[in-house]
Amino acid sequence: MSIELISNQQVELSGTCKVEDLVLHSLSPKYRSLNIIVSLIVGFVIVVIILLLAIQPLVSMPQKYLDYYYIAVMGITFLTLWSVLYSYFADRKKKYAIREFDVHFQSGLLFFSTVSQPIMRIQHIEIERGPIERSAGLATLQVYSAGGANHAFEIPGLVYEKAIELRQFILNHKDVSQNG
Amino acid sequence: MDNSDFSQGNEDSQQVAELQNGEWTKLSPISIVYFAVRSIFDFATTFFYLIPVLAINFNKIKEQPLIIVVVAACILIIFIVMGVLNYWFYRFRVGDDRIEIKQGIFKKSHIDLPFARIQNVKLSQPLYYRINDYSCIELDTAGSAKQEAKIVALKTDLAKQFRIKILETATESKSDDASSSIASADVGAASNEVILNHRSMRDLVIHGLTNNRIWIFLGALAPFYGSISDFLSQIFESIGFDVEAYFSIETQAWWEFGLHVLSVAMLIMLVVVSFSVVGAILMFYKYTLSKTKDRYIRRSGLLTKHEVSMKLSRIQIMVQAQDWLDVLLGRVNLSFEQNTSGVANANKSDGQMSNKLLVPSVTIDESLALMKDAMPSQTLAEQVFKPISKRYILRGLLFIALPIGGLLFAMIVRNELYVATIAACSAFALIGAILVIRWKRWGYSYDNEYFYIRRGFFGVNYYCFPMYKVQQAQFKQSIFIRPYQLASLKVVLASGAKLVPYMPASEVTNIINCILDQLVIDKRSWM
Repeated sequence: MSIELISNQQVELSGTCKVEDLVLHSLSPKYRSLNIIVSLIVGFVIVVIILLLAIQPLVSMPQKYLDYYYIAVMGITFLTLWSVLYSYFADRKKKYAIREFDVHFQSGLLFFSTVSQPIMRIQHIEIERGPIERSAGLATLQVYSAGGANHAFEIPGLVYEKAIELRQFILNHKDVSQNG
Repeated sequence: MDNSDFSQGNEDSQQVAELQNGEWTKLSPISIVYFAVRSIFDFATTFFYLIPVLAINFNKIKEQPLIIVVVAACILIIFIVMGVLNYWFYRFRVGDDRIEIKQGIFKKSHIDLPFARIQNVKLSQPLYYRINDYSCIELDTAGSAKQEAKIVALKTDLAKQFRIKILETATESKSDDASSSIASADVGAASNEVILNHRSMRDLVIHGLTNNRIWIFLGALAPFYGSISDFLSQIFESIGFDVEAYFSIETQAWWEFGLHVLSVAMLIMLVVVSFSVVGAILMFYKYTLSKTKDRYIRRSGLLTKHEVSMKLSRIQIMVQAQDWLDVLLGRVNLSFEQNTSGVANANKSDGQMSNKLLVPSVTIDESLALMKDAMPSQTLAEQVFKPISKRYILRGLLFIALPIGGLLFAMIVRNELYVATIAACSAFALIGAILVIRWKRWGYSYDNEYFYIRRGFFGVNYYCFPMYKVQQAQFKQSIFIRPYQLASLKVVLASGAKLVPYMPASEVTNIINCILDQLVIDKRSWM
């Protein structure tokens, strides 16, 4: 099965490999486009609602609303563009790596971070898929340790099959089955 | 009852065996008192916001004393009935390796708890249980807060015996089959306790002075704040003390006003401190920390006696905390922390939390000795701490001091330029000074097994944890510090996360590698 394939790859990485020179895998390219599309749609819908409220003749809106609604439109347009740009540059930076005994996730454009999760300390694993992720065939892998939900280890934007494979790799890991 | 005889008595093991007959058992009727008191507390916490309403209508109510009597009597009866019903519906059954509890009047619950999952056994003895020598046993589980179970009334001797039984079963089931005979041979040894530390009255007074334990009172008095302030103003009126005149700036010189404010502040401080001392005594009266084979047990309490036990292997981190007053007096608060994943402790004060074992106001030598006992191979005392980068101060100056100074300047500058400049500069300098002190306190160190952190401000805290207990490690770096090869290290433990900012980036990766490499070889559990 493909699980064996993963662990074979990683054997040569482990041992000599240090955290700073890990070979990192990118997320699915769909992940970034999906984020951008979602921000655009959300921003567009909110702007349309604000505009419609201003134009529609059925209910008379308060004068203050009519005076200032364009500020809200501008603000939301700016936020949308910001998040599109941010996704465009930041999502490329999100990468993950798996070694024989730990998993790593790297991210950050302005605030760079690498989270390292030893597999032995994993308590349980979840695969999360919202409707949008499902439509694109993506999934988010969430890994929980005793550090609590605030410190859940998460790899988003994985191709679903890959996420399943990863989960299986962790579940089959001898550290989880024996010491976890 | 003296605390020392908590640890006596082995002859009840037969009674424990009787308890384990697998039949549903009822509690002793004395538990009615417990249930009644508990429902009074529940009632008070749920409805304390109604007290202002009652206070407003107090005059109306006062006119009909009969109604008060009737209502009070009804409420009292309700509490007693609640107590009886709770007692009636409470059943527990003890098997060889598990305990089941059925309880609840309207909302029934059935708890089925294997001994192996019990993390902590806590005995507490409220005042009203002391006459008949009964105790409550609280069973804490490792994970979910919902599964927390309590056997409400057992004879203290039996409860102690039962506790040993549970803990032994829990350890036995985890160890291999081969060693189970050894474990059962150690049955006697488990009850052999060694007292490691006890706190005298003097220590508790010091603890009260240095640590604000007034919350014990503030918490208890919260429902009555309104009536207390009414009462005080009535007293002031009756003795002819005019509060408004006392604090009026118009009618007196500024120094007189200042003196008044100062004297009131001193008076409040005095009250706060004395209450805090009383609070410390209430909580830690006759404090003892003792050790069995693999466990620490803390016993203390004046009115309600608490007994918390913590397995040594469950300690995630040791914290030696020292406030500025502690620094002057040479005392420290040492605490052993275990995992906090259960929500049950979220709204308990730190003295009662079972995830923390606090040794209040010990001397530094005692603290070091205790830490050596808990984790023999750590060498906190000999560590030379490495400083973090001075850019930590710069960050604070740029992101905290500069905005605040600027804001002050902008606010005052319209009226007076000089005052604005002075205010802004002094705010900047003050924050700068604080940042320098904080930076000076920051330090980290590590050896092959342990990681040590020093941090603080006026006081100083030391943290020490074994690296193999780490749940997750994070390397953090913003673009502002990246050019200078700096990074922050965040380490997640089961007891919470610890962050060391602005270390050399190579050092951070080094430590993370060290932790991860250790976990590859060292397969010990964090629990």
